[in-house]
Amino acid sequence: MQAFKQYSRTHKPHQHLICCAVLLLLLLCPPTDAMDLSSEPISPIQADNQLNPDKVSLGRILFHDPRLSSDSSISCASCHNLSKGGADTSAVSQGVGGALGSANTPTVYNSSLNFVQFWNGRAADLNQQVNGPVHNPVEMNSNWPLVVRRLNQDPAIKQRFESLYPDGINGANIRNAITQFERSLSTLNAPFDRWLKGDESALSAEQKHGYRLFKSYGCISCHQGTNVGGNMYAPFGAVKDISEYFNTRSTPLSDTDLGRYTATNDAADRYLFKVPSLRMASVTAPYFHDGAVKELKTAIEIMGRFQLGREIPAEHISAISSFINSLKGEHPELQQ
Amino acid sequence: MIWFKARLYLTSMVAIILLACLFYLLHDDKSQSGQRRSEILLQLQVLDNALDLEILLISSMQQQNYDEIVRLTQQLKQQETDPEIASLFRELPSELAGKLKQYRHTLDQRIQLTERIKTLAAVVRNGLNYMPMLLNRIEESDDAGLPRAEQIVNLLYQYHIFRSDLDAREIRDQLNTLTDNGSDGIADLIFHIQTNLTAQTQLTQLLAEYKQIPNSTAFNQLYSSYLSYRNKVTQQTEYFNSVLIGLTTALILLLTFLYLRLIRSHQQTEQARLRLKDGVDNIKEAFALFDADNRLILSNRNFSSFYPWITSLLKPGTHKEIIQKAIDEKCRYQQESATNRRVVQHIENGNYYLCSNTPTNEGGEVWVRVDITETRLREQELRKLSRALEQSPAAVVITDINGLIEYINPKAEQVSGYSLEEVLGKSPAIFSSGDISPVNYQDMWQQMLAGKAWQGTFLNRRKSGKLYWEAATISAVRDPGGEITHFVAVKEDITERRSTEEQLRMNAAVFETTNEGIIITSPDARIISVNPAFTEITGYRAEEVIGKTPQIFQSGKQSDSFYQEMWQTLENNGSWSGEVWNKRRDGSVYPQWLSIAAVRNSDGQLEQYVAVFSDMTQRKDDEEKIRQQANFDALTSLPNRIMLKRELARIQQLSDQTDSSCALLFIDLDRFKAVNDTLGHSVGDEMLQQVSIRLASVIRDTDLLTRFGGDEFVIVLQSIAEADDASQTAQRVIEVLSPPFQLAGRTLYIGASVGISCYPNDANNGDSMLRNADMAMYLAKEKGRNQYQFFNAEMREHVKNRTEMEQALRLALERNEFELYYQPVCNLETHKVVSVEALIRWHRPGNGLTGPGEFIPLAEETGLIQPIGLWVLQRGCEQLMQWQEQGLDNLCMAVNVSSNQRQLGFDARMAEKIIKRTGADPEKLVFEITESMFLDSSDAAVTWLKEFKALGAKLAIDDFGTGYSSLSYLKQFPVDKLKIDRAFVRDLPDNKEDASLVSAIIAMSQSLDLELIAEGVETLEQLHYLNQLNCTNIQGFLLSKPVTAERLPEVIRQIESSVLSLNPADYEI
Repeated sequence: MQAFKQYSRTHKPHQHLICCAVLLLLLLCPPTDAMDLSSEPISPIQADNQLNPDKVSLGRILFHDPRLSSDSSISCASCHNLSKGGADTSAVSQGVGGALGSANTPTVYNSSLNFVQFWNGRAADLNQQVNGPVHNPVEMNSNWPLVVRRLNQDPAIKQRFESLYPDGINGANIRNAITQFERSLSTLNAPFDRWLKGDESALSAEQKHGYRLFKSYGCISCHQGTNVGGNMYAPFGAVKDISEYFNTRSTPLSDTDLGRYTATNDAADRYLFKVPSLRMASVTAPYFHDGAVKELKTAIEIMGRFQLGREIPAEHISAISSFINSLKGEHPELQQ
Repeated sequence: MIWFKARLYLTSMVAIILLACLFYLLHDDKSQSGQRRSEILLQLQVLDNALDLEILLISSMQQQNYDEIVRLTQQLKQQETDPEIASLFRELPSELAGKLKQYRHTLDQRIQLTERIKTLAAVVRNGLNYMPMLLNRIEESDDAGLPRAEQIVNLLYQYHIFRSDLDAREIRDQLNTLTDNGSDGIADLIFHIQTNLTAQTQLTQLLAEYKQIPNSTAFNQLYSSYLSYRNKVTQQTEYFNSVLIGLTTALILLLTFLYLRLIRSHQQTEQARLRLKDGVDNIKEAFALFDADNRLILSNRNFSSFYPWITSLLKPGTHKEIIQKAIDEKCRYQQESATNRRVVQHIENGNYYLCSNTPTNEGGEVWVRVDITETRLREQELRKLSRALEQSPAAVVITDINGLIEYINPKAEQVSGYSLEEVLGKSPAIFSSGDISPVNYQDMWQQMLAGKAWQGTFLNRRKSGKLYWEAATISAVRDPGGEITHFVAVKEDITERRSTEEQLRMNAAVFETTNEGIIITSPDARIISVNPAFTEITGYRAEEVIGKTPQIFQSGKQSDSFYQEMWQTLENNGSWSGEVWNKRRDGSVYPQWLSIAAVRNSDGQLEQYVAVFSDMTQRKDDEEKIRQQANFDALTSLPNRIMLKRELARIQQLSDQTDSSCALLFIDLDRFKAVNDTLGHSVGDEMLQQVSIRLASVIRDTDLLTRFGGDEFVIVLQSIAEADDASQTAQRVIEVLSPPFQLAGRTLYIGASVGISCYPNDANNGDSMLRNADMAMYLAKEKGRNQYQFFNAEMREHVKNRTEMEQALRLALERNEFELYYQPVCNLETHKVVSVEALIRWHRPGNGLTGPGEFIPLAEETGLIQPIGLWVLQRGCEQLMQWQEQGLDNLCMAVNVSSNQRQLGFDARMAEKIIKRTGADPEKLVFEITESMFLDSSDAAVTWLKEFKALGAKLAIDDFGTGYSSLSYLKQFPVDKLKIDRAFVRDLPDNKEDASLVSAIIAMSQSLDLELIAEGVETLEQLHYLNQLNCTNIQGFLLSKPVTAERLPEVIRQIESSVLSLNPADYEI
């Protein structure tokens, strides 16, 4: 606590300054009817402006490069369809040789805003994440030496790498380039973000109503922050036993269903999942880690039931769904 | 020294710079990384504290979202994984690293708890948020449990505010009392409160756990440890720094000290060096010292004055090779003598240095040069004098005071023939010829002993006994004290001079008495001397011409260019001779044969010209006479055949130019032979003279009358208009010769036959004109006497035929039209065919088989005889080989060789080639040559024949008896056989003359041991007769005609079987 005091002490003068600045602004600015939305739990997405455009464009090529998979059939983009929300529409994606993945493909849009990667958070960041699909036998089933060897045979790629990275093509540099590209996949100007920035007309009445419901039901407790989720873990079935969900599901219980437990082997982490971002939820059906739910409204209903212990009425679900639609922003790669 | 100094400076500077760098780096690096580490630690603490704040906000439900806490946890994780930070902390001592790890561990624990707190806080929040809504629902459903519910919810809020376990227990108890009365709301409430309570309890527990994590303690321990570590490091660094500064100072001091020491020792060395140099500079010799690296250490003043051109190089440190090379550029080396190894340098300026290069103990070298120029020059002087004596053209004899020879020079040796060894210690009397020398020896000795030089002439005798004249000068040699020590005689062999003088006297006599005029001039052609003959020829006296140039004799008959050419030749060749027309004193002009020679002395310098001339007046007259005789017939004074040919060419040329014709009349006197034979040559001659007078009367002035030879005259008519002009002249010629001649008191009649040919109608040159006219004349003669005949188409045809034959003949070889026939020669004693004669036949297309008589003369004339001859030899040899294969191995073959063939280059070498090529045995070959070959009895002809003999072949003389061969000729030539010409055999034995001739030939051949062959034997009588005379080899139709090669074996068989019956042994004449 001593350290904390120290910290507080050091910040006191700043607080004074901020107070003075706010006062000054209040005095100077003419009074308006605009709401103060700065303390809303969701904040607008900002573009990442620390990117190297050349690396981004190289990453884009690699993202679409099937040579990253063992039989050169699958690229990142195969499952993360950029024009269709950054994911695919299957419950689980097909990897090389038609192998089926174990979890639903999350969107790659805004993925850099997630505090960890994968449903069970086993990768600390995007850079680590890239290793996953490349090596996963049911995804790309490959390895870096193989990928590096293949790319080295392509003079154009080789030349691009050499111009950007002193050590040319290697796993780390491929990961870096892909990560750079992924960091550029921020969806901007979502209607909700515009509303947050003061554009009153950006949201419909229903959407605003949905937002209020979203908050009052408590969805906001987990789906908050810039990415409307993606910044915490939550147990699937936070207040209600999730067995009911799994039992009614058509597919049997699998390892993936155990959530973070598969990464930590801690009993407390059973059914614990990274809370997914709702930014692209409106276009990334099916839902949940198993991709078992095809409708957003059903997903909202299930969430209310197991996470909040509440049965949300249909009109409310509809309003919330409408609000969720307003979270989707724009990106050049994305089909509007 | 300079180099050493520089090294010292450099080393010190480098050391100082190094130290400074080290100092700076040590200081800076340590302090920088320490600072960065502190920063990172403090940053960690800041993040840690911020995390506390966020947890506080979250747990108090005040935080709207988790983005901030996510940011903090991510930063904390990043700090842990950042490779830069990791490397900064890697070097720390293990204790400190352990503390850092511990602190990090607490941070990890806190982050993990944070995640759980986040999750639970969300649940708790939602529960609290829902409570009022639930109560509303219960209220709306008019549930009786509402007050109880409100009470429990209040308790829940109380719990949330105070978080007392008491409250929690109270809530649980209360919840148990709140029976589930079937109301949805109550059931929900119970569920949610329980959930919320559980969550809040867990959250409280987590927060407690969170608070319990000893992160502050860990940090404080870490930080204080780190600070103490840092202090320690800083102290250490400072300590090192001090030491470093101390060391540096010490080093600088040491260097300074060393430097000062060095300067002092350098000064001492320099002083020593200067002393040494001073000493060395003052020695007389040149001196240079090199160290073991061959670098110059020292050289003295004389070294540079000995070799002034290398002064700039004489700096310490210069390499020995460089100096040596520079010296060598201007000097040559001499070995002092074969035995002495010392080397002498001869410098361009003439100085001589004695060189001595001695190695030093150090491994270097000392050069010492001693100037020996003066000694050298003196030696040379002496050598020069002795060489002069050695090579002197005068003989020198040196004797001691007693007159005994001590030395004679090579010339004296040469003159006297005695060697020095032979005369050493002897008296000069050894040279004496005896008492015939015209010298008064007594006088001589008196004069010499008196110290005067004596001069005189000796007649001495060489060792060989020959006498010679010697002019001698003898003088005494005195030592510095004036005592006579030696006598030196310088003598000259004057024998030759004496004889030259004789010669000159003789020459003078010739000069005075010769009949040819002699002029001697100086190089600029001024007359120096003339002889009496000059005066006689020209009439000028010596004193009249001396000092003048020979131009005064010029007659003006020669052009200037003549004299220019003369002088040119004189200059180039040194002499000139030619005919010159000069003028005598009396003005008469006369031809003289003048020879001028430039006289040069031994250096090639022109000294004088000698002109010798003779009066050619007489000779000129003689020459004119000879010319007359050459071109004119002495008898008739008409132009002769030579003149005619020349004139014909001229006239022909004239005709060509004027496009006119000319005609040639060939006149042959009829019956002149009879006049000559019956009345003698003098009458004949007189007749010819008269004929020539008569002929001259019928021609024009422009026409040419010549005596062609014998009784043949030729008239050439220039520019005739038509052929009739020629026929008229011919008619006049015949008419003018028709009247009788009165000679030797008789009246004689002769006539003339005239052949005419015209140019350019009948001939294209003078020769063919003559030939054609001659041919026409013969025809005229055949038609009867006193006729003239033009050359006509028939004759042309004849000529043409000849031309055609020539062309055909040329092609005949190519077309293989020749064939050889063979005529056997049989020996009557052995009854065998011993040889055959190869005879050529020509299968001339259109003419059938042509004999040699028809085409060989033409072949001879055209030179075709050569290839034909070679072909005959070749074919004959081949045939010989074929026969040999058929078993005719003893057969010889005779091949004809004409004298023309020899002239065309045929010789034994060519024959040998063919013989070798065909493989024929040369001993089976007989070359038949004609007697005409013997006309030329030169050595060359004999050699030519002998070479054939050398091949192994035999030589036979063909057609013997028709020519001029005499016995003496036959002896000279290496012939083996004679062939008696068919002409002598033909009339045997009836013609007595021939019979005696044949028997003479046979007798002669027997005496010369020559084999005989009789040709043309056609009758048995001839055969018997010849056999009787021991001519046993027979060739002729009687035995066989020439036959082809195929038929020959058969013919031989027939001859050999029949010859026995032809030649009965008992046959007698």
